Amino acid sequence: MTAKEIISLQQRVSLFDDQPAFGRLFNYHYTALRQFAASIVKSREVAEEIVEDVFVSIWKNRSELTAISNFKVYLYVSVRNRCMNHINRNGGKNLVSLDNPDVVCCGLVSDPEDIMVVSEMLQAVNKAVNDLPPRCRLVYKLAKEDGLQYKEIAEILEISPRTVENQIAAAVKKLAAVLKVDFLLSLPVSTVKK
Amino acid sequence: MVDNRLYVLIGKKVSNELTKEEHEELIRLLQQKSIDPHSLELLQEVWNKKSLEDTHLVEEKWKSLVSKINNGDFADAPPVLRNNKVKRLSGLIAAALISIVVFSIFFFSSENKDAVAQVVADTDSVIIALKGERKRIVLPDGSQVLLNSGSEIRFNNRFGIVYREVFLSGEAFFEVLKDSLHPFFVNTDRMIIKVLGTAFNVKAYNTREDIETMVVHGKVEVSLKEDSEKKVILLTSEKLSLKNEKFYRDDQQQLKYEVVSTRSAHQEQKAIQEEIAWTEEKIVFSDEPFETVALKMERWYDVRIHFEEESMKSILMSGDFDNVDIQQALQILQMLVDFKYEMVNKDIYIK
Repeated sequence: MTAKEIISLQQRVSLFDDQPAFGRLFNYHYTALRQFAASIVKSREVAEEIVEDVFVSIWKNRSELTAISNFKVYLYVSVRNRCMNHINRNGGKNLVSLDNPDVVCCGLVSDPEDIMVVSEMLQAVNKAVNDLPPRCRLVYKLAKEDGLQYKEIAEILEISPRTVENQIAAAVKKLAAVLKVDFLLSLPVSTVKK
Repeated sequence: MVDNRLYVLIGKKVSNELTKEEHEELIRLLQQKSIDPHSLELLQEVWNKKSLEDTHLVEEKWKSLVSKINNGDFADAPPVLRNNKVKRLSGLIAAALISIVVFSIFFFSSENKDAVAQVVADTDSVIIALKGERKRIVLPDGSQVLLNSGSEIRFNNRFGIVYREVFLSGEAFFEVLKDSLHPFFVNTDRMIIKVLGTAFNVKAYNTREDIETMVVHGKVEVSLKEDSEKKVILLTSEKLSLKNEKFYRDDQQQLKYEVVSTRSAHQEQKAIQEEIAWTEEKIVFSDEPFETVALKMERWYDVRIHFEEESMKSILMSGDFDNVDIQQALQILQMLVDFKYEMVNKDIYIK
């Protein structure tokens, strides 16, 4: 879904109380948001509740929906805030638990037609991803799986864009290693040409 | 440190974040280290793979959400216009069907530019006047709407139960039947117009043109969506005009609108005639820049007008076209302003 489509759906919801349009926004974002919430509150049920609450509240205030310039970021930030409130209310030990998110990255599954990426390779990738430090894994998930831009991730996690760059770099380094793409090994000149 | 920079750049590359300069830097770095650029492809391939998500539950979650938001736990909140149409789960398909039906009625009778159609709505109805056509619509309550080119009006099956409410994008002239028990609302992107019984014109295109409401006779109340506290009452021949500031980014802060009211009876008549000239198949413009005149013509004649010289756009002009075709209209303009044009199918190039 392009940014333009999202904006047009936002307008339909806001101006025409258009529930099918709201449904498309929900379907498109739900799973990623639930996973994001679960990584913070560490409970699937609570995460589901939080995401639902966010959408209920958006529907309630739909007349103001057109004022939101980046709906996607708005969703993630709303979910994050509610997660934090939940943790604080329930006497969470780690107040800012974004430091230790429990991100579950669903495994990549191989496509039999794909000759370039074989399934052993993907298993290695999946393992490598799950071995990443939690915070790095969260940034990786938001960039790769959820397709967020660096500056959006920075805004959502309240970190600097530079940190996002470095976390992604760390993830890439790890992936390159398991894929045996060793960038730092100089290749013979003959293979470089062509 | 250089190594880290390389990974930062590769990370940006696979997540599509590279700027042009960074792209060049990456290529340089790869060359320096004699790295085969093809080795990035595998990484990109893996990066582009999406993981399999358990999406089958989403539908269920959506159903539970719908029952929650339709359950009236909070039916209180919405402002005056907003609580009259919450139930429409299957609305989308039905709306599409209805609009096709409505549309085809118009289509088959489109020989007559002002096709009159009685619209019987049992769910969402959308009526569209394409560029180059005007449509006359009779709403379920008998009120009449003349829809100008490139405009769309919608209303739903709850029309008339509590309110009479329509949603307009574009321009339309309304003649609303009096019914004080069922106030009539016109909802546009930026303002809401409340009416008791009156004739008025609303212009709310998504272009540079100002957003306007003008009363021909009677009385309306306009509230602006940006500032719902502010309500403006308009009487006969008064006009509220709002800068479409999406297109004037610099004057953000303040909400700019002006109420134009004309004093003398003569001026009054003239102003009204100008505003609603389009309902009589005329295009009238007075002291308008060429650019907005061109916008009107584009919709009216279903053409695209291109300016080869930016400075032409701001030339002010006054005049009218009375039921003429596009060639004649351009010739009239040539009498007002010195320009040449070339017409290729529906594209007109102003030189």
